[in-house]
Amino acid sequence: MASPKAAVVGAGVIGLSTALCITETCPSCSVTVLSDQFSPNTTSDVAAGMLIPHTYPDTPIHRQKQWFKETFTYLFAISNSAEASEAGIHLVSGWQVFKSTPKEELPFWSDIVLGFRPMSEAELQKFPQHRFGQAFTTLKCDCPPYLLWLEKKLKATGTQMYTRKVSELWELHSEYDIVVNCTGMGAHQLVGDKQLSPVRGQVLKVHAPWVKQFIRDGDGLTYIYPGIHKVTLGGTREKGSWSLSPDAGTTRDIFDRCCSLEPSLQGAQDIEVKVGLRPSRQCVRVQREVLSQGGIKLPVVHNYGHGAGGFSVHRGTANEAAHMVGECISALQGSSSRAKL
Amino acid sequence: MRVAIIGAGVIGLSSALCIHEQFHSLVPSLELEVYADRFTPHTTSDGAAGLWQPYLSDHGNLQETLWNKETFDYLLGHLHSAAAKEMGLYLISGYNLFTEQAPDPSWKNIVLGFRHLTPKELELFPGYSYGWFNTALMLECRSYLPWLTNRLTQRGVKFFHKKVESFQELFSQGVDVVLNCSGMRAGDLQPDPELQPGRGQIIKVLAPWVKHFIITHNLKSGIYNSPYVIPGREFTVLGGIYQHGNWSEENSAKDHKTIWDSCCQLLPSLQKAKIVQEWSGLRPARPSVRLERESIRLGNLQGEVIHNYGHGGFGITIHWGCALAAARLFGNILQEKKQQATPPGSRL
Repeated sequence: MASPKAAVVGAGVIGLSTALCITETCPSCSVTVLSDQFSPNTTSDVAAGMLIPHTYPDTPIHRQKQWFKETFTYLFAISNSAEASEAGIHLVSGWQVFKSTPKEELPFWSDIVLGFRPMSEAELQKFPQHRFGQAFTTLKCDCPPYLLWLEKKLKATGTQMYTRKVSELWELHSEYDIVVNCTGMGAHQLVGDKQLSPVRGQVLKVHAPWVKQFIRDGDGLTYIYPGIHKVTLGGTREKGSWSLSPDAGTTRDIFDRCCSLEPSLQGAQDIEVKVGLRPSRQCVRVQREVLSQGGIKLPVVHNYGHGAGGFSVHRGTANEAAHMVGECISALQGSSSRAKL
Repeated sequence: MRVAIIGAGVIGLSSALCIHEQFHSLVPSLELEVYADRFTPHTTSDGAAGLWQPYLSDHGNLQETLWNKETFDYLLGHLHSAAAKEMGLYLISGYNLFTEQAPDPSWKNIVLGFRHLTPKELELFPGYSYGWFNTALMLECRSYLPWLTNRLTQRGVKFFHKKVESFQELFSQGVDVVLNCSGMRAGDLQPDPELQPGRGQIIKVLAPWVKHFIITHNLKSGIYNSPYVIPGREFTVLGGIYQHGNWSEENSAKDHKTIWDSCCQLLPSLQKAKIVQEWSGLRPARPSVRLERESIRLGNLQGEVIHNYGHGGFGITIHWGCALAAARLFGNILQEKKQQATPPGSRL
């Protein structure tokens, strides 16, 4: 197997970063990205891209921490380089505030973000309805810039990208040696994963360039994340809702909740409303599988189900998936050399 | 009672507002007039980035530290008001960087969340081994000065585009009290060898991904002679020039290169920033702010002057505390005039 051919299905942050990791760890592999949507029409484009992890109940914490750490380290280096603005990566500081003191005062990621500490009394005065808070500095990946930058890096490695709707992974078996499934919410249909369900999120993207800091309510429902050009105001977490249409009442509610955290947002302009479905799962599925039909085998690497935490762990899971692809290639080469005996 | 304010920078306009707010109902005849040859956006204040931050050391000048605090608290109180956006006021966090350990500043408990930088944070800034992180305020004068002007205009304060040549000129027209907020040009009205220009030059760029201020310090070369990056609402200000005694308001190519190279080294992402404007200005530097009364007598002309100038590179930082102090001095003047008007014994 001179040049194994890998197809990565999905072109959101997971698909593109996984494809890139494959080109880095398996240079002999030729990679093609197939997706029915590319930026700016992916779920990732709706997300704010803040590096604040979501906790997956069934993934071991040390694994989540490792994924986050790898992602943070990778993006930290880019943020401090000349490529930062093109890649859409920047540092942002701010506060996570709680109406009542959380059970867990030190989240697992507190030593990975920068300068994590409890808020002082003076700082909490800005949030009269909240009695506890954490201040820290983290990174933000703005989309579309980050996805476009990943696409540019992929093209430079010779990776091809095609708009194509894949109806079942098996349909790729004759053209590709390995398939990498980064279809996010699409995996529900594509591989029939009933453990995967949407958590609908509606956000507003507004022009409010004086907002330089993030504010997040610890309940996860209200947040203000300043991006390069626009501030993302959120949000909702509607379990099981598949609707991609913006809801006007929800827009009003999000705006009001954010203004009560940051009154100056009353002056925000150019309000755009977006909706995304977080591809949610009890644990992220980063896993190998072998599909077989009529004696033909198709190795598959799954990398989906990142829910609300896609950006926070994307590079870590992409690396893990890329290593699995490497293992698949070795297995294929092993079996093909056995076939030659 | 006619009060003339000389100067329409942040000091002149805020002092005028403070006095009008406090005294217009007590003194029905109060008339305020602002005289200046430069108005926003052409004042020294307009060139400042607008970051609230005093110098590293107050040199024992506790009064100035108090005025700084009064200003911070006043602005913080306005942060959630409907006026904040129009004032150009917002919160901002950022870094102060050093190549060696430095004592904590006098303002550490005035700002929010002051702390020392962690080793990981210092990795962001090779060449710097020590530093602070805190949350402070931005007050952009290109918004604040028009806001002050609107408030004053609403209150009936009159504006005159005119260079005042002497205090006597105003007293001879019937002005009772002069507020001297003439900043760098105070020496034209009354020689003051302690007032010297602290020339600065800045480059304004488009770099909206920069969300923190970054101020570096070189304890040997002195304040603001080391690169700094301050993100405004629309533009980011790059600077790092402080030339004591240099009166030139022309942009220097050499200073441009110094600023650009040092800021890009500090923050590599700036290499892709688009340059929008260049500006030079003179910080009205003085060993301490001149904030005091003076009675001026020339022949049969007499008047009171309240001096309020020499705020160096911290005018925005200290402005409201000084305005309050100037208003107190004005109150003293009013009190004395009242006592003079009703001499003891005349009530019999």
